Amino acid sequence: MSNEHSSKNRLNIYGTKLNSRLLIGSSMYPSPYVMQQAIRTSGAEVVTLSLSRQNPQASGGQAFWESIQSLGLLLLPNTAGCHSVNDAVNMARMSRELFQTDWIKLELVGDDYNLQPDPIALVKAAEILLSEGFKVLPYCTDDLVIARHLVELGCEVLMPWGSPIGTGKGILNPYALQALRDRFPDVTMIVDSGIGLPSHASQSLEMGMDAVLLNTAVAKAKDPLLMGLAFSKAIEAGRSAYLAGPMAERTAASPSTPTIDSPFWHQST
Amino acid sequence: MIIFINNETHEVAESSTIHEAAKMFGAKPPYAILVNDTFLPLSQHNHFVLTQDDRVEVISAIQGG
Repeated sequence: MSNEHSSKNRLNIYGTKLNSRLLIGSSMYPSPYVMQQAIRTSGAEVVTLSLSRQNPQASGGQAFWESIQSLGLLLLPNTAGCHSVNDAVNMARMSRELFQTDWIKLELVGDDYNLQPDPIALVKAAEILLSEGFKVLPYCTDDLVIARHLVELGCEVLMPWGSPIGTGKGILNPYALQALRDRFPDVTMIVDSGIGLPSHASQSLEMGMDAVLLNTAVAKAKDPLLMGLAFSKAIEAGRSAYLAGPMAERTAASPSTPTIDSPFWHQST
Repeated sequence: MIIFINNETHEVAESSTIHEAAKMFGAKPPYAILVNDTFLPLSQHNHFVLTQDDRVEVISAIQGG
């Protein structure tokens, strides 16, 4: 039996090795306390956050920052809401200064209906940021060719969607995700967005994906703490199943009970 | 002179720096600065001199997914 935290079984993000294969968002929780507790019970070691205009009259922003810092987790800032290369690059630069990390979850919205990433702007922004020393984690669709461009630029991590952000629809195109996995076996692959249930996360890991990133599924659960724990277990189960090597799927039935010497063998028609 | 901070007009003294404007605005650290849609590193906050109609964004952490 493999060791859960062996080197082979640790998540690799640009050389940083992590025990948890869950990356979690910090948004939409019913309260800062619930956010902290849910993130803790999920076991996540990476938490995402973002940037916005500061309102000095409101204390919420400062309280959030202190709350996140107290978790002591690795920070993964995003460029959520950016529609242009320039906006995303500027946001990444601000994030690096504020959060003291080269990691950036690069998001570039191409369409407001489904928040689908703009693949062309994504590649352009990734190229600029990689040249400036950022460790880019691009939020992309499951398009194989765009993924190839990102990998060829130097992205060591890809974050393809399972389904659009906040939908909770799970993995809509397992074929496309499997193709990404098979074509880029050495790239860290994190399913980002659309995960609604622990079974979706487990499915992702069973397919050989390295991790999942989610937010709404935990934050909007009736009991976010319990859901955080459920995701933790599902991800561990999915990863173990992948390492264990699932059986081959068959079309025809095959008896699991030995039939040789059965006294009733071939009696029925 | 008039400048914009977070999309609102503010009056500041001529030759004000970003640091001075952010202090007048009441910005609470940690924050990052955009001037006219371009990131201005912290090391330049004391040196960058504002001019009429400059657009300044004071940015800080929020929740994100």
